[in-house]
Amino acid sequence: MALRPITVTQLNEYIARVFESDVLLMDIAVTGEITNLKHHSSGHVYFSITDENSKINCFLASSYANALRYELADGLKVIVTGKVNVYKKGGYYSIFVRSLTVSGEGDLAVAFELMKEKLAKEGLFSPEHKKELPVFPRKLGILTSDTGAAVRDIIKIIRQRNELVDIYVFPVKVQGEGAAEDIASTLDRVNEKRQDIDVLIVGRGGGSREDLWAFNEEVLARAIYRSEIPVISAVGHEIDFSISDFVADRRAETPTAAAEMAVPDIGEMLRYISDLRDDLQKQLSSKLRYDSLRADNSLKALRDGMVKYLDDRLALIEKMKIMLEGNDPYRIMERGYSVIEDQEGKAVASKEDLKDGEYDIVFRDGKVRVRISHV
Amino acid sequence: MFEEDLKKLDEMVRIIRSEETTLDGALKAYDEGMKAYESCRKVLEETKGKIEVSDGKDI
Repeated sequence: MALRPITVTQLNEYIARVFESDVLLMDIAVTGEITNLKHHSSGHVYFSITDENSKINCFLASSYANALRYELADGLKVIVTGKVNVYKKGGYYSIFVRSLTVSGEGDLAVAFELMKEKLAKEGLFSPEHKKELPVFPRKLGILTSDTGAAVRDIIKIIRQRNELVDIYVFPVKVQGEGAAEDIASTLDRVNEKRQDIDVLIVGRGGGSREDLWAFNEEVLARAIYRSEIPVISAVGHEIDFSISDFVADRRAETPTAAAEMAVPDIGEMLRYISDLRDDLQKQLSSKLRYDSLRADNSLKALRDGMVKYLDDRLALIEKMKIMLEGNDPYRIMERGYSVIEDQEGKAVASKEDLKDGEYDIVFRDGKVRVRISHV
Repeated sequence: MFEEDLKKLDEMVRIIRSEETTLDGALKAYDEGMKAYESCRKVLEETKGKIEVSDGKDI
């Protein structure tokens, strides 16, 4: 008997009902490589995933797209989870994607580079934006898992160096779905409520690239960028680079390196200031010695000057004495000469001046009063 | 503040070292330097930090 024809709509609706009643199709995970990726202005994302021989379209609603943990690109191998949906109008089916993870190590590397490029272009890594770490923090915050080894190591290293800083631990998820959001929101709340904290260490211990992925996610990168409090990013081991390393104010290769970077070593500081104190004392005493030396010198110079002055004077007097003596009129009497002086004591130089009267004759050893007459 | 005292200590050493500083300048720098040293030492040796773990959502 001939089939009774049904309408296209009825057919598509029937097919849709069949799909919706199939538990598997309603919650499925599919792996494939992304092709013809399109970001719609509405925020929805359209792409297909393929394997060697077939393809299926995918639809990522904007609400899910915002929570995406990866930057998508054609060629990226992904695992999508969601439900297979029949588009009745068009008579085709596609996957309504609820979540997406990048699977291959290589693909994670690709996704990392994509995210790095995107945020770099926006200037989230710009050096000018980076803040200086406080030289002498009083309060330090740590955002990491409170169960892992990282937090213990960080606290141990800090306390070895610095007994003085207050340490505040803010436990966060450091791995898997929702970790990046958890860290980001905690970071925002610490910035809002605890502006007394001087520096923050955000990170975790080692792990696989997937384990560390939270620190490559955009939501955390933006929260770190927003942070007013300087952030040291300390993710995994030396070789692990994360997006938060690029955004943070400083990158520490490991959590323990972050501890060393964050707080000054009190012992070293004590040595430093006591060296300065010794310097003060040394400089002062050398200056005092130098000044007293200079004072001595000037004193000595003064004394020498005086002595010299006196000597000069004596020498001068001596010389004058000799000169006087040299010209001493009476000196000649030593050799038998004598001098006749009148009553005023003036020497009579010529016989013409001699008149009758009293005169003195001066010998080397004294005077004799004489009377002269009949000149 | 510790940072200021540290800076002052550095500055006083710079002054006392410089040739032009007179004797009484040096004496003054010495006194202020030693005062700054004392307050730095006190901070470094006396204060003790605490450790707090905020449990979950209350920050």
